[in-house]
Amino acid sequence: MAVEVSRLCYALEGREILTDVDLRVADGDFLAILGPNGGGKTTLLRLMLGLIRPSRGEVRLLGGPPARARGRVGYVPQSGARAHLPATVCDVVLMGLRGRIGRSERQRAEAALARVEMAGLAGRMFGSLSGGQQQRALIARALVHEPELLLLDEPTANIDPQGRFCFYEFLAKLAGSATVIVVSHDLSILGAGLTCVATVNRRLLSTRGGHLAPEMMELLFGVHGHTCPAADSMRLLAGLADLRPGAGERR
Amino acid sequence: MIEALSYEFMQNALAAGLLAAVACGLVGALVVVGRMVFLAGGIAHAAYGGIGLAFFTGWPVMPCALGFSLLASGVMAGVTWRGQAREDTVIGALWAAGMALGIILVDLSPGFAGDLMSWLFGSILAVSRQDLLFMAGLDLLLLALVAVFYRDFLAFTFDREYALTRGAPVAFLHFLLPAMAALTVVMLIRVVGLILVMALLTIPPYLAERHSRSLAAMMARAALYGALFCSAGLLLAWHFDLTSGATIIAVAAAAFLLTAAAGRAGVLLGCGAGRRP
Repeated sequence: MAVEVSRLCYALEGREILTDVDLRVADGDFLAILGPNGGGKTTLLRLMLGLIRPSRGEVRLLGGPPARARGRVGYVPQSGARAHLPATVCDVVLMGLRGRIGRSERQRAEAALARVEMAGLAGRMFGSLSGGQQQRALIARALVHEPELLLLDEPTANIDPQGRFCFYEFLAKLAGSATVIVVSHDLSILGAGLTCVATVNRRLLSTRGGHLAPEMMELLFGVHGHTCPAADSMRLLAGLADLRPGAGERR
Repeated sequence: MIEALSYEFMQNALAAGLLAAVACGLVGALVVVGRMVFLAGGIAHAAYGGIGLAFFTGWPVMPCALGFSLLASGVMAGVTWRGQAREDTVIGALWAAGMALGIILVDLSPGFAGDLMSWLFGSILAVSRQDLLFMAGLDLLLLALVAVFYRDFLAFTFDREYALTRGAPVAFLHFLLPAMAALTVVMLIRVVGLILVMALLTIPPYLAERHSRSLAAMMARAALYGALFCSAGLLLAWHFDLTSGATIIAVAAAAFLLTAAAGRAGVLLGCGAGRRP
């Protein structure tokens, strides 16, 4: 099992961010964790990585505690990188490796760039790349040490809507070689060939397949979701993937 | 100009400028790419508390300023570590508190504080052989720290959270970098003074960043620019009988403004001048 989250709770300054979250992600799964802003998506990811401690409950990554699994996990954070730093794309990818950097490490960086379809751009300055290319370079950095689990936090935040579909297809291809977990508030990922999907808004619901069950929509849009025009649009978008009542099998 | 260099005090001043430029290049580059200029400013001004303490107690100024700067850097790093307090507010408060303490201690000091101006505006012409040894020692320490932690600094300044997940000593670097800034600030106080120290710490790295392809190249280029500004400023100050610290900063500021104007002209002409590919 790649990820096992059991009865996880996290509170900050007396406010519950996550309550009794249970989640199991099998090896090779391609999971999207969807939720509104402030719903606890990034907090859940940071708990999985062991960057913050839960108030209660347990997270196990690749069969052990998160801190012990970090060397086998690739992480693409939410736009924390400073693009103005004078560094080539290769330098950025090499940040994913510890220890001395030699010829073999540079070859590994070039191989990781080739996996994200950026072969030949190793010598370019990172800051001169487009938003989508920078995101791919950061994924190459996460892949360079060949992780078994890849965690991505809002990876399409800097990518235009047309580019997102290509990007999700690319992630689906990656899912063949590693477990991929994407945290996003972009429902268009539902058309990306997910093997499972979860919604989080303090609580978490998950299902197999790339579709949202009605109660997951309820969790996404809250009790007012049924009367909210924006929610109707989003529901329609989600329906492009599959919104048939009962289509999702609750886990 | 050559005649100026025949005097020992000018030779010492030039050597001090070159040694200060090395520290500026190393630490200034990290401060600029890490967006820690305000923090470095806070440390620089908090150092005034140490100068005031030295005047009040009669202790040597450099160790007092160094101790106070290191203390301020530790407090700032500690308070901002978990991001629980607003970084800019805490730094601003410590900045002002250090200055206020220094002013009060100077007020309470017995006798005339005539030497105070040399610490505020620099006294590069009064640098002694002992000061030069102190500065060379600090440069060696900074060089060693950068050499040992170069890749960690690169990851830390680029993306702190990711660096943490890859096992970089993020907490250590969070405290180390402000401490290195404190060492550099104290060294620069002798050259350009406490008031002008930030210009020499930020202008050379800013200019270097525009044409560098790596952090190491940026550090080397910033050190070179710093050395040029110090040498040119010193010789101009000699020739026109001006305050040396202020002249060094004026040369740096002129280079900064000229580069900014050239960059703007390049943008207007559509050739994107001044930026690396």
